[in-house]
Amino acid sequence: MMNPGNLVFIFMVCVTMVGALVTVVSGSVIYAMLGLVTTMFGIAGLYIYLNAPFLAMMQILIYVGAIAILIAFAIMLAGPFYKRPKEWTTSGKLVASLVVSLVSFFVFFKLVMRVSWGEGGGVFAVTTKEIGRALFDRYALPFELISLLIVVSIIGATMLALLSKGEK
Amino acid sequence: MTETIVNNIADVIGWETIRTVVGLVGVLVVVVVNALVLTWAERKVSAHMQRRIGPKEVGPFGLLQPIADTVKLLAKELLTPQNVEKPLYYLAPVIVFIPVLVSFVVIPFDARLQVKDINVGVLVILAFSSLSVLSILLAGLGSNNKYSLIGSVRSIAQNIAYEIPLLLSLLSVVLMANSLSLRDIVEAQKGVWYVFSQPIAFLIFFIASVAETNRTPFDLPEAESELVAGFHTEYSGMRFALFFLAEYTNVFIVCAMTTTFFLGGYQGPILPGIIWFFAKTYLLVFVILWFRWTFPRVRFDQLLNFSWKLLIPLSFLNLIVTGGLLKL
Amino acid sequence: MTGFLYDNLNVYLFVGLFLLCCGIFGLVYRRTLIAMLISIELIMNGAGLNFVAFNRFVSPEGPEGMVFTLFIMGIAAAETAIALAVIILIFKRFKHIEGSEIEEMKE
Repeated sequence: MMNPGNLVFIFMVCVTMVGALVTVVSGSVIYAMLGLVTTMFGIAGLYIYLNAPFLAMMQILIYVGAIAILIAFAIMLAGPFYKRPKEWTTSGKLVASLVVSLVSFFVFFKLVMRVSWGEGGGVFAVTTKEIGRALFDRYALPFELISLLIVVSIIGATMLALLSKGEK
Repeated sequence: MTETIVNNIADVIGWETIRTVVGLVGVLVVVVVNALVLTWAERKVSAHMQRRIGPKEVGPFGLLQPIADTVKLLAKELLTPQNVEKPLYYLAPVIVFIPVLVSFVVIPFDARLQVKDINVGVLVILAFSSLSVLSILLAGLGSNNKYSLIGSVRSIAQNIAYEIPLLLSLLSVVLMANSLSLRDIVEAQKGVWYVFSQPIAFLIFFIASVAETNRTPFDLPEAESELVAGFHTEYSGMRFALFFLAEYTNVFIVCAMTTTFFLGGYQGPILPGIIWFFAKTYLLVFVILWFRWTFPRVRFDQLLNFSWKLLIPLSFLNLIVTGGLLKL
Repeated sequence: MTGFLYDNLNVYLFVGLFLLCCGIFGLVYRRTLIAMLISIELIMNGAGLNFVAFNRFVSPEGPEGMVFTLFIMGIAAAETAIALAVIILIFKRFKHIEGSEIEEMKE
């Protein structure tokens, strides 16, 4: 049971969960972003265990390489070491958020993990080539729509930046 | 006698693990030896290009100079400035090594000398080269210093601008080789090397990777006359040595990748493959060292304009033409 | 556990659920707008993990789960870009990014 594959898997799961905890609990936004990066790495490791190496590398390329850097740029522009002032943090908010998250945890736990989902028939035949073929064959329309969405968001972000520059 | 010991160990942890461990140790040896060689070579090459001689006191031809430099850097006091954010400050020199070491895992040094031939090898290299940006970020943020912050912002902007032509030029090679694994790409160059069938992609890839490693002419973020020293202003002694070690290893990785993707990897007529591989790689390293004393430094807006306005449209055009010609 | 730990669907579902609940907790608890955005990224990552886990265990014939996770990554990138542009504008206007203190519209 304690073979290298299992040990690395347990390590990946721990990295993911600890990263998520650090993200939501830490004091300043920079440590939250570092926790997010750790979580993304853990999830990339889990994708490798799920026979999806392409997706694991895409996760690192897109999330860590682009989105995390983008968030870090925004943090640098919007005040990096901004800690929550003491008088604005009430214990009521902590209790409320704990209640919300724990209630949703138990509800979804009951819903999702007590059901036996059944084994799928068929051999696992998804390679990178399959994903590429599916993207251009069956899912070409959502693919094009998402690229349109990305173009729209680029234009929107540039317009917003020009807007603020025009005010000055 | 050693055979029985090795067989016993293999029964416990399996042959794959032994092979991986041996491969990783080999990679570390290559990294250290390469760093020593490059430190010496940089000083000698730049000296001869400036019509002087360079280090000649320590050992024959100054060959033991890197060892003297290492001893000096190790003996320096590990000074931590007072108001730095300690976790970020300590983490940055460590993270700067991870992309380099991971890229070493997929490079084929010879037909059977590759630590692990991952079937999405190209993506591994691209994904982890975008990770080196994170360490620049942590170094800049953690140093609590205006010059570090500006230097790191500039360096990040340069890095993400030149990542895109890198990716696109590699995609044309992947289209031609029909596979994402590095071994297949080298094997697909048996007939004609890709430098002849994709010259534009070769140029774009080489220029973009020189910009990625922050070497001259793209070394504005760490230029001595500009921003004190950019994002590693506050690092001294051993930590500074780690940043520079990572930069030299990055130069080696970049040249190794250019060799693998465009110059046929380990293929060559008479000598064993690994000698051809190192010969081609160090030829490209020499070219990168040559650039430093040939070209003036590019201004920052010229740098970004060059990437966004010239390299990216050119690499898109190259990709479209490659795809079109392959399907006809 | 039968066999290896990583051949079990429930482990992946538990991790996805944990990420979702951490994301919800972060969204309600944190006051800074950027920290809320980071919690939303956590939720989306958990959802993607769920998709790929179901693809591998329950319906392994087709790449639907993985394709959808790629779509989630693309949409997350676009949405993060816009949201951060808006947040930077808010910072320029209000000089801080506390979510509950941003109340007045432009007068």
